[in-house]
Amino acid sequence: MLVGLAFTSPWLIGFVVFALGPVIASAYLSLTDYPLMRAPVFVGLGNYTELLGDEKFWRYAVLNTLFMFLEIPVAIGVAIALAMLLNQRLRGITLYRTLFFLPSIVPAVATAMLWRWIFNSEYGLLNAGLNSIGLPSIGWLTDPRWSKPSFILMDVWGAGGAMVIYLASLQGVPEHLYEAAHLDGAGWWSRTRFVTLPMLSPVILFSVITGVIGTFQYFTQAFIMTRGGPELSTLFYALYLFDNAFQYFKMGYACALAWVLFVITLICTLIVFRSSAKWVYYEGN
Amino acid sequence: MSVTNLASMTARVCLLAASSLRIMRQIGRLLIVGAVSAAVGGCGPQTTTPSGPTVVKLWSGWTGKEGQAFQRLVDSYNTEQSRVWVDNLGGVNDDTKTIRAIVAGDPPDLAFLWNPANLGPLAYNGALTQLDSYMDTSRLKRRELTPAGLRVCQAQGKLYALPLLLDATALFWNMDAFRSAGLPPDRPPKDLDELLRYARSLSVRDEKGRTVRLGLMAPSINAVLAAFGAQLWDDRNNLPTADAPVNIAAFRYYGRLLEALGGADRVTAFESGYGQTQGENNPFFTGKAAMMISGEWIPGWIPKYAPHLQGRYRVAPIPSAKSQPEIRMATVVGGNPCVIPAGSRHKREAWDFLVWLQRSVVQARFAEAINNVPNVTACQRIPSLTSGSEARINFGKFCRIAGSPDAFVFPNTPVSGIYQTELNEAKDFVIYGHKSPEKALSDAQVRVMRELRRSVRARQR
Repeated sequence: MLVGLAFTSPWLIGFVVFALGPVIASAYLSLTDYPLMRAPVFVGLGNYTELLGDEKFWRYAVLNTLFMFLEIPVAIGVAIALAMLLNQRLRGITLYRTLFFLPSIVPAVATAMLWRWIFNSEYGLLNAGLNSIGLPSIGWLTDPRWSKPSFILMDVWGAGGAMVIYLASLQGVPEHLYEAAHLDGAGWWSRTRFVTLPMLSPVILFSVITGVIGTFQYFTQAFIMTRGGPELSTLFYALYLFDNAFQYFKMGYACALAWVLFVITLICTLIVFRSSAKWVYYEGN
Repeated sequence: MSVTNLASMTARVCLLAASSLRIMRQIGRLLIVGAVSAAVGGCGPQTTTPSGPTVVKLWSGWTGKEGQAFQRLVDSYNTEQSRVWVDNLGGVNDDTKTIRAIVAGDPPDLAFLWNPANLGPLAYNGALTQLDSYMDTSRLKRRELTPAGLRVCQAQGKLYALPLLLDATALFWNMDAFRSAGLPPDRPPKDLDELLRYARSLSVRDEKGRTVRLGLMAPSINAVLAAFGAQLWDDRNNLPTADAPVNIAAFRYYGRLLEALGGADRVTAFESGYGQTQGENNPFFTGKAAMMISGEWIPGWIPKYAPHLQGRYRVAPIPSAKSQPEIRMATVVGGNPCVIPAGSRHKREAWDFLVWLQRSVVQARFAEAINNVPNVTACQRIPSLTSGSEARINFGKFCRIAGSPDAFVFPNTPVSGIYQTELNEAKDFVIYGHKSPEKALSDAQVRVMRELRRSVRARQR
């Protein structure tokens, strides 16, 4: 028993010190006023009640939710479309698959730096393309109306990770289902709607849940590319949390924001789970 | 496998396991001994030796050539006297590291704050040593220092730091651009209204309406607040005054200025193509901006990054608002305050080094190396710094401007960081036309007041 514990101790100690400990500490700190330079003072639910009256909290929570509703369908749609296109028996198909997968392994910071220049209003690749066909330039990251769609566009570029999962799932769809549908007179759209998508639905559920979590924690790209601008249009919830903790030194308030973020994410995830009974098809059932 | 073989293998495995356990126990013992040694020998403040000098730990933010120049200053101090050894850790330009060290109870004896907005919260929370009593008994007198430099280091009228050098801002203009627009190349705009007219007439667009050159690189909101003589803080009642009429006028002007330059959308889109402005891609150097409000390091950079501008640019104080004719030399002054944390173990020695840094010869050496304005007023008149080449003459102008009684210094308050963020956000709302200056600043006032009340409550507990 002791030897077993000793051998698992590196993980146990790591988990307690670097995961469980900080989680418990942040739960306690969320009940304190902790400006970093002084010891935390217990204020009960003070941070949470203040948060309810903080119009910025509501603004960024709504912004993040809106972003989630825009980002997830687009990202999933593109990943499925790519997977279907790459699920063909063509010469050199593995090369195409690799090419589409590559962007997903580019680190987030490198992606952000690259797209900052692609989106550049003056010298960017996208505007050069638009101008070449006679369309006017767009302020991708400088116009508050375009900043969020720009982030979605950039994220779609990295859809290769999800694409690989959909591709694996597609290859597991039994051929006889398509044959049966074909014999029943189903066309391409009907086969996709009644065979492909139901068979992919468990993977779509996985993508939606990871998408909900990912969009609520959206930080790196916005921190590097826009720092919340223009006109606060990309100040995502996690950025606001970061600013409170490390710019304004309101660590207690930032911990409360983190716990509320956890609860929001949990509720959204539970809603998705509950709804999954109506749209997810498990082959074994 | 035979029984004998099995027994032999089992015995070998047991022996191996036993020896492994022995080795592990041995390693364990060594680790414990190491940990205890570290705990006994490594955690305490080993800052003095019985016969050696007192070691003063200093954290500074300069890197590269600037870091080397600062280290040479430290080396000079260490060789000039034998009582104290200043141990400089460079490259600490993330104040949260310093703050974490203060919170953890193991701060350096001296630290440069890279963001002066952090001085207020630290001072109000008792994390810094108040330096007035040190100053009162020192041979260094307040009158020897730049008034704005002292304000950078004060909170609620008390001194908490001293800067090494200062930053000041002024208006730069391209004389060729002025000539081609039919403007007098040797004369700066006399007030902000004229600056706006100049900015409009110097802006150039191509046949498709795209900006080719901005008349004026969009300045910081603080530069315009300086030109209006902004009132951001009521010192008597210790309260923010974000929505004071003069601040509203400054924000209204800022909105008009952006309109004159082509509108916020167009200006921000054009600015996104500047690239790294701290170097050869500076839009004033590349001809993308005919005027800009920038700092004292620019004259030193022009021979290096934009030699074509030599003899073709001028520097003057930021023009003041027409409604504020008493403001003669508007500028924004900032710097890196050097603080002595409350938990410093060698405050007197740290203060002595801080005073040594204010010596004219020391200030001049560092100012020459990094092109920042000396904090000591006598040093601001040293001929080697302020005369000779065009770069030095213009640098001299900055030295005079930094000494201006009209200099704007962002107030050090318990909520300085939030206050500056709120003003920048209010500026964005105004330039995009989503809020009037009155509404944007009254919203900012409400939020800063709320944060201030929160901070006061926390300190009273």
